[in-house]
Amino acid sequence: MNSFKSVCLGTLLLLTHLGGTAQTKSFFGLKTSKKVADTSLVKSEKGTGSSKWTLPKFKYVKVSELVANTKPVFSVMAGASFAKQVVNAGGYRSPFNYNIAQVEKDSYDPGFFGGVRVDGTYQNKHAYSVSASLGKLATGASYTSNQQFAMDSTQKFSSFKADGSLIVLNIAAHYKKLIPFGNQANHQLYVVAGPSITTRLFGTSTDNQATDAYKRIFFKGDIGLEWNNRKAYTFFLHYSHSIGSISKSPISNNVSSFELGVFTAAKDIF
Amino acid sequence: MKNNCKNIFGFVLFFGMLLLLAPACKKDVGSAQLELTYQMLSDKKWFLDYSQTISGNNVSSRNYFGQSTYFIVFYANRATTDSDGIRGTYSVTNTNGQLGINVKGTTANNSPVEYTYRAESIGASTLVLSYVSNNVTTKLYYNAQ
Repeated sequence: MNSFKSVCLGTLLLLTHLGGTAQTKSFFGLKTSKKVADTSLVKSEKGTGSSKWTLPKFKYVKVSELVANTKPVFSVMAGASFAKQVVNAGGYRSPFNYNIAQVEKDSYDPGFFGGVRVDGTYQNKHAYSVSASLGKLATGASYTSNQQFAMDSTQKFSSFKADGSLIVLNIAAHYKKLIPFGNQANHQLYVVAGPSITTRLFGTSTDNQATDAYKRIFFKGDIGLEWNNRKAYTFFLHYSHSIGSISKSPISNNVSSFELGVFTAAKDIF
Repeated sequence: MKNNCKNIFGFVLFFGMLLLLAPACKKDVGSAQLELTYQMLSDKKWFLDYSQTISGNNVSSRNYFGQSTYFIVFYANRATTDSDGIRGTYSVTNTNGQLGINVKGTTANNSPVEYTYRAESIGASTLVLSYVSNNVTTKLYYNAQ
């Protein structure tokens, strides 16, 4: 019981110490001990009036100070994805038909991914990340098609059926921009944007092997936010939208997805 | 700095190669079409709902929906029976991308019979077959139950 009390007391003292000095661990090659804002009230030396107190003095941290002299950091990442395909089969005709009422699922379905990424700074100015991930992109699909069969004009058919599950390899290159928000010595919020390239690895359904309608490789545009907590781990939320159709012409098939995940430096784990 | 560049270059190169090589393995489209057709046809009773007879610009239609109508069953073991009493086997053919269904069987009187339909469109619940006889095209619209 005494040892438990000692541990609690020790942890409390440690947290108090860290909180008081904003001392941070090394990450991205940075060793910082910055006070972002001295929020304590300061007694004015020149004050002659009734008020002898001045506003707190803020010291802003420059972006260049945060990202300067950084070495690339290898990280591991994992997360969940939510994706949907929007299909317009247009004039596409195959030997097969799918009743849209039976195959349509107009929702973002959950999938998952895991991978590695490198974060660095180009010429000590431009923060970037390059990532590679493997994942299951589960998707819902909504259809627009005017294909009908004479026996029942109320039912709509599509000659193309979107795969509900794509096993993909994704490579992304993102430019990162720090947003001056909150206590930047402890937390950094980045807005990220950039292209990514995705390929389907396996798991293609017989329906799509028979029509071979999907492109092997497709491009996406990504945009998102990344929030780093005390240089220990980073949460991210990315939105991706395909650039052009992910299916062959004349099918128009756009995929959009949200990725919610976390990454941390590989050296902190292994 | 040079080592870092090498590491990142190697990282990108490795996954870039994987990206290009990984999707190379895939099944032949023709055999996949046959497999999918068998999957969609098998173990269902297909009822004739509608037929169209097309001769030049003349199109005549007949609707059998809700009536006691012709049906045919395709089994997974490639056997088939129909409402006319024909029993036999069936096979799906793929001639230059055109799918067809060939039926070989015997009538109720044990007379041999063989016919081939052209598969216009195949679905899990909707099947459109056609055949041409004396320059008259007949389209048959089936519904699975």
